[in-house]
Parts: sequence; C-alpha cells; structure tokens
Amino acid sequence: MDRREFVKIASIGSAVIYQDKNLYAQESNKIEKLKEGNEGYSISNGKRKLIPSACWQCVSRCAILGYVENIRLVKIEGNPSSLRNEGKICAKGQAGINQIYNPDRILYPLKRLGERGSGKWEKISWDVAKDLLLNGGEIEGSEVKGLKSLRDEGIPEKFIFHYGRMVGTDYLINVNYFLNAYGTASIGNHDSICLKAGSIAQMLAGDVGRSNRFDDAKILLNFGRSLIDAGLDHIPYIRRIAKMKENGAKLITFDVRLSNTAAKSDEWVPVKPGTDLAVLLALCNVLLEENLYDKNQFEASTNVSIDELKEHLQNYTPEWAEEISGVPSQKIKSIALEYSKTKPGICISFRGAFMHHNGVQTQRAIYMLDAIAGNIDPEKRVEQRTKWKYPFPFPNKKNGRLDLFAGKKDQYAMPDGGVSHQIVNMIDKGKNKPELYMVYCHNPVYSNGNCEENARVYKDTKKIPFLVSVDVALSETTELADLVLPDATYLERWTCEGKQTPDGIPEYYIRQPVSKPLGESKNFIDVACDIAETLNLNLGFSSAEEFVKATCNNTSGIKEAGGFEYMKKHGIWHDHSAKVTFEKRSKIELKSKRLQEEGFSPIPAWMPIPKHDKMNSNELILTTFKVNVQTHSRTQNCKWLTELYHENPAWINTKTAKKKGIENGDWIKIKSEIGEMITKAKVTQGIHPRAIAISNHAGHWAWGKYASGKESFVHLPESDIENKWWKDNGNHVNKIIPNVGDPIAGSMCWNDTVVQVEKI
Amino acid sequence: MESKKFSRKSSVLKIFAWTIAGISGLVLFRNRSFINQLLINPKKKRLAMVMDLDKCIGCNACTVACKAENGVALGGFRTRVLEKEVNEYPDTERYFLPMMCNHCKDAPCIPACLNKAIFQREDGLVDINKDKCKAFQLCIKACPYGAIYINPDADPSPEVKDYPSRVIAKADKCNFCQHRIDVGLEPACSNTCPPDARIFGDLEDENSKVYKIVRTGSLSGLLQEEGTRPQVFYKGGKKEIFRVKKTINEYEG
Repeated sequence: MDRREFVKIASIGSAVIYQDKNLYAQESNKIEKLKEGNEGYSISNGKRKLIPSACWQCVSRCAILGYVENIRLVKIEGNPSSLRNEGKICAKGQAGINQIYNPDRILYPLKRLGERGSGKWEKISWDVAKDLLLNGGEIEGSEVKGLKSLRDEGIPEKFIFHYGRMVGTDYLINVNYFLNAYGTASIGNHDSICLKAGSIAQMLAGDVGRSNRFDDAKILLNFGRSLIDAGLDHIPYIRRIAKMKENGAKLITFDVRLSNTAAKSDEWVPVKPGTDLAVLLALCNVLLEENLYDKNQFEASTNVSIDELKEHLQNYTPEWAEEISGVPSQKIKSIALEYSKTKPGICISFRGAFMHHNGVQTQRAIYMLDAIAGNIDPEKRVEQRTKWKYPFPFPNKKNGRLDLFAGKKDQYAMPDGGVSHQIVNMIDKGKNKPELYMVYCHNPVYSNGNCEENARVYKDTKKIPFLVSVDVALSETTELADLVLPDATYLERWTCEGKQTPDGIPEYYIRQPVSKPLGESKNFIDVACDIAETLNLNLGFSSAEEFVKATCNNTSGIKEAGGFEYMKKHGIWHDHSAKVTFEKRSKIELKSKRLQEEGFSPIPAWMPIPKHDKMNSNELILTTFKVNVQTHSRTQNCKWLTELYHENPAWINTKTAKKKGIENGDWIKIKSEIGEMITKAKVTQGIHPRAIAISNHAGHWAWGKYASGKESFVHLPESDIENKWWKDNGNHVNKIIPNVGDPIAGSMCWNDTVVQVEKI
Repeated sequence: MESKKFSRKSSVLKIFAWTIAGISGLVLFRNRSFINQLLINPKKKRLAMVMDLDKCIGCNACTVACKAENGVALGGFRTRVLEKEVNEYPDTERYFLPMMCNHCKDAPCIPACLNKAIFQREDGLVDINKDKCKAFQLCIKACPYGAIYINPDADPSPEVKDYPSRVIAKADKCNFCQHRIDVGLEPACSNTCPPDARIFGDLEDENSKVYKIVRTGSLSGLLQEEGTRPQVFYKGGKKEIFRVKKTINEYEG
C-alpha cells in the first residue's frame, strides 16, 4: 500500500466514524456512548477497536482505554468515565504498550543451565515447567522439591511466596485463595522498602482519618512527598491539586530537593535530610507557645492534655530546629502562624519524611501537628469503599510461617506486617531455610539495599534450593532463578479493581486483556488455578476471567447494570448511592503506650540519626527519589520512558560542588560504608548543601537492552532497537545503601546513608 | 555636536534595548489591538495550542502520548518538555516548557524546502508531504525551534511501517495529529495532559477555550524576534525560560 492509498483509506475510516456521532469525541467525555466492538479511525488501516481496562505501570492504577488495530495494541488513553483520572494518564501509562512488545519479553518458560546467573537457559514447555514446579526434580545436578512434595511431606510453609506488586483480585486470588488453600503463610511483601514506617505510625496513632474533604484544604504542608512527580494515586492527585490551586489553596513543600512537586509548590523549604521531625516539633511548639489551639477540641480528640504537651515540647523552639534542620527559625514561625490561621489545612508526607531512622516518630509528629492545628476534629469523614462481592468462599486455613519475615529477634520493636527486605539476611544467617522460594512481580536483588549481598544469597543453592521467578522480562533476580515462568503483562490480565473518587464515590473497574498474552506467556493467576486443580485445592474457580466474571455478576449494582458484559464494555461502574458519613472518632494516641514499653518516647520527640551526628563537614547524606517517567525498577524496559530517563546523575548543590571542585557533568565517585559507585554530577541550586540525591531508576545490569544496554537471553529484534541512541544506562544507587531498618518499624532507611563524594 | 552625539548614543541604546528584547525571545501580547491584529480572517479556522505554564508539571505525558500516537522512532521528538532552573539556592525555581512545532504563520521551513514539500493548510496546520521530501534538511536548519528531525529508521518493522513518521530518511515533525483533529478529536498530547496545561482549538471559534484564553491572558510565543509568528502560545512563565533555540530535537548521540 502506498502512502496515498493509505491516506485515502484512513480518511474514509475517519469520515465513517465522524458521521457516527463522533463516538470518540472528547467533548462528549463519556464512554457510555461507546458500543461494543466499536471501531474508529486508525493511522494504518482506518479502524481501531476500543477495550477499556486498567493501568498498572504504577500503583495508582488509572482506568484506561486500549486501542487495538488488528490484534496489536497501538495506543492507550485514560478512560474519560473515571472520576479519578478523568480521562488522563501519565507518560508511564502511555508507554504501557512497551511492556507487551518489549524485545526482551520472556515468551516461554525457562529452566536454568549452568550455574545460577550464568545466563544460560533451556526453553521448556509449560507441561515440563508445571511438573518441575509441582513435583520438583533435577536442576543441574541438584534435586529440588516441588509444591506437591512439600505439601505431602507436611512442610508447605517451606514454600515462600515473595511479591513486589500485587493488587486488586490478583492479590486476593494468590494470597487469600491459592496460598491459603495450599497451606503456607510464608508470604513476603515489599512494604518495608516502601512505606512501612508511615503505616506503623498510623497504626500507633489510631483513628487519624480526615475530618475534611482533602480537596477543600486551603493550605497543604507537604513533608517529602513527590505527589506531583510520581505519587501514590499520581494522576488523580495531580488533577485534585491543580483544582485546589485554582481555588487558591497554598502548597508548601519541605524537601531536601527541589522536586517537581516542590517546584510547583508556592514555597519550597529545603530541609537537611532526616530532620523533618525537628521542624515538625518546632511547628507544634510555636502553635502551643502562641496559644493557637482549641484546648477542648484537642483534648477531645487525643489522649494527651495540652499542659503535658506544652511541657513536652517546650525545648523544641524554632531556634533549636534551625540549628538541626537548617530551616530558618523565622520561616518556621511564619509557616506555623499561616498554617494555624488558614482553614482547613492538611499536612501530608511520604518517603522523604519517613523512610529514615526516625521515620515513625516523624510521621507521628505530623499527626500531632494536625491535632494541635485543629485539623483533626472529634468527628471523622467516612467514605464508602468498593465492596466487590466475591462468590467463592475463602479457604480460611491457619497456616505455618517460616521465621524469616520480622528480622532478627528484638531487632525491631514493631516488625508487624513483615520486614521483607530482611528475608535475605535472615536466610543468610539463620537456620530457617525455605525449600522453594517464588518471586512474583518483584526484583529484590535490585530493589533492596546492598544489591551485592542480595545477589550472593539468591545465588546460593544451599540457602535457597529452588528459586522460581514469575516475570515478564529477565530481571536481576529472575536471572538467578532455576525456573522462570513467563507472566502476562498487566495489559493481558483479568482483575477486579476498586478505589474511591475524590468525592468519596466508590469506583469499581476491571482490568481486562487488551491483547492476548504474547507467546506462551500466561497470567500467573491462571497458572495458580491450574496448580490448585491438580492439588485438589477446590478454589471454586479455574481462571482469573471466571473469577472476575462471577464477581461482576454477583456484585449488587453492577449485576443490575449488566454485570460482566457491562464491565467489559464500559470498564467502570460507580456506586452513586454510597454516602459519605461522619462518625465520632476514638481518641488519637499521640502518647503511645506500646512505644513507651519498647523504650521509645511515647509522645513524638526528637530522635537524632546516630550516623548523622558523627558526620564530618565534608561528608554528605545520600537520598533517593523517583522521577515522573519511571516507576521504581520496573519500567526501564519501556523504550519511550528510558529514552527520556536513562542516566541517574547525582544532584549536588552548586556551593558544595564548588568546594569539591566538581562541575556539572563531571564523573564523581560516591563512597558509603558498604561500597562505592560512579555517576555524573548534576550541579544544581535545587538541593540542600548537605544532601546528594540519586534516583533509584537507572543502573540495571539486567532487564534487557533498553534498560541495561545488554540483550537478555530471550531478546528478539524490534523495530526501534537500532535507534537506541543512549549509551549510558546509569549506575544503581542501592548498591551503596546498606540493607537496614529503622529501630521501630524495621522500615528501610533509604535516606540516611552517609557518603564521601569526590571528582574522578 | 553635543546634541548629535546624544542622539547617536540614544539610538545605540535603542538598538541595544531592542536586541535585549529580541534575545529574551519573548513578546507579551498584552494589548487588545495586538490580539485584534491576529484575527485576520474571522471566517476561517485557525488552529492553535496554548501551553499554560502555570499548570504544566513537566510530566512528559504529552511526549510519550505523541510517540505512541504517531509511532515516532527513538531519537526523534515531535514534542517534548524542557526544564529550566532559575534563581539561587534556596530561592530556586524550576520551569517546564512544553515545545512542539509552532505551526508558524510565517513558517521559515516552507520557503527553505527546495522541493516545496512543506505546506500550510488553510487552518494554519503546517505539514510535510513525505512524497516530495528529499531529506535535504534545509527545513531543519531554517526552523529556529528544532522542531524537525529526520526519521532515523534504516528499516522499520511491519508494525510501524504505516506510521507517516516512519518513512525512511524523510523529515518529520508535529502535525497537530492531523488524523485525529480531522475527525473531531484533539491531538494526543492535549488529550492526555494530566493538569490540562495543553489547550488545543480554533482561534476563530468563539466557543473554544483557546479563543477565550488568548483574549483574557497575557501570552507569549517562543523566539518572537525570529518573526515566525508562532501559533503555539504560552501562558505564564518567566522570560528567562524562553531562550530555547533549536531545542526540541537537540540531544546527545
């Protein structure tokens, strides 16, 4: 077909769709007008088919529309029916296509040849893979035990399932049905490298739900949350914040770095890493000293009296905090006054504030500030969540768990919920050995601190006899596996999802395949169902699709709207009848008995970071961050994203750099207590002089050509591979960050590492 | 003598002042008479895009949406977002500048092409006729924004061959997603823009958002001193950030 002909055909297609009442027109803004099997314009053949689904490039999981030509996914857009992302998606969502057609995609099961990590594989059939997984067998001279063997021997808990990302009904089916019915509670997650200090703080504080609608806030104090760059619920928050700013809300961001969030804030207040707590305590101090609180309201909603708090906070003056954090005392005072008089206000935070040695107390101090400022009323706002009705009963078994998930005995005061980044250390040092270790949508070798130590343990067949990885490409961890199961990408799966809209309306939506799983890849949920059937686990369903279908047809509201068929066509259903209610809250525990018992200050108090106190003036504190076009370790295989972000230069303050003789673009060496790395310097006015910041996205040594520059074993040629123009793929920062945890939650201290920096 | 000297000095100053104004690359369309001048033929469609820099968060959703929609090869950009930092620590600020072909009224790429491969539609859209393009690259030199690149493919795979951006060794650039706008859709970039910073529309349509914005805000255009009369307008931002010669397709490698 020549170009002219193509243009002609394309315009015919266009004309047809235009007459058909402009089905795709953005102005109509509602997908309800779309009909099943709808076809529209196309660049290549004049036709496109539309399939609503759900994104999963990051945990925000926006509702999307997939556009398919012939059988190929050609475009992803936001689903305009969503009241969360309102038809918008980010760069990562747009690049989801790259996940399917990644030239380093695993398309068939693999069995290891040679030593672990040697890069040699045997392509095997699913039958062989399933037999190996179930019954064990020989792998390069060693006998390994399978799922059936472990169960028959009465040691099913020796099967570890360690997941990174797992959401919606994927989680439910894997954990609540399959693993539970199988008989293991040896389940690792990724919480302790993500947000654990924050969730433990919330658990300790208790009933801290908001009193006001987030979107009504007139002032936001943001401690270390990059919500405009790459936050949790990224697109929904971008849209909400944009609307709030249009309505005159003020955003003040405390961060070591001028993140894009800080850049779009009304004010950026640079803080020395790990000292947000000092600033928070001083903000609280000012409010108390200036009598800017409602005594009755405060005492009605917390378990501390104002007098006790005053005494506790009396020494945390703005001048004291300036000394520690570098934030001018006048600035702290003026922000405290402004925060107190602007109502309603909300203090938000994330990793920048709490993935520190003192993270739990920092997050608790945030609750304390909001309680004093009167932003936590005795009544709380209660929003209805989505209530999918799953038609299959949970097995509800009590299963055994290996003692690997909470760190060493007495290492952490509150390892509740697991300290999974310490599983490697526990296996390395302990007696508690797994027989079968399955990694699912996770890359612990790369994602934990101290990559080299991780790799050493995962490589050791004596410590982990049978390592199985379920993955879409050969990651640093998957490269070390004995058996690799090729997973379906998120665009090839079935999942029920649910989130709330800004107005508290439950948004029910589904993820459905916009494309059949490529090659021999399979949704692991379907593999789990298959295994369950072989082991007679009686889950009640035999595939993810069946589960989603039955759930849609069983959930009231959706059932009446047309059930599964409705959801396939529209992707989303809202429960507009769900009402937001207000309930009396139980008292917030600003004074924690449990912390007191564990030997920590029951009311948030200053908690210095020991290594920072011993720093010399030449040393810097290393912090990590995310960028807007990458998600942690798992999107660098997406060529359009990695074209935009592939190096990870170290941000260093102009004055600091000058003292060290470093100029922009110079290669520098960064040395920590466990190792050193080399990267380029990004000399900038946008970072605290005592900090050096490196993103965690670049520096893969596996994960395929686009990510690492190296073709993996499964590499196939692709149209753009010759056009890859960047040579530098960065160096990974986690290699020099020790794999440690904070003393309370065991949460990874991403932002505390002391380093020496020099030009090379 | 004195007065003559004075006047020479003042004219030198004047030229100096104009040069500075020119270098700054920014002209604010503040007064209404200027806007009225823009409206040459009210009956015609006139396509334009407004970039609201107060809203742009530099997320590059537009950049990637464009890559997907138009199948743009690695190494080329029809649009992208630049970043610029100003001021000293701790008063540092960062600005984002989304850039694309400006669909200039006096597009310098059109006369630069020896083969007359670049044309302007009645609605203002500037596009490249790939059949006529011989990749002489004179358009690339002529465009002050760096909006045009040569498709780097040696041999695109069948899946992407049909994309107009993937014709071997031909010039390519933004065409406002002509295939979308001609069926009533907006371009892929503004369609996905998370904070609604990109606003596309017809400057002659009283009901369009661009019509209203152009008449209410003070807007600027890139490199006004080039005399290209760009049809991509910028709302907000600081003048330091508009010095952006040849930047859309400027990259290493």
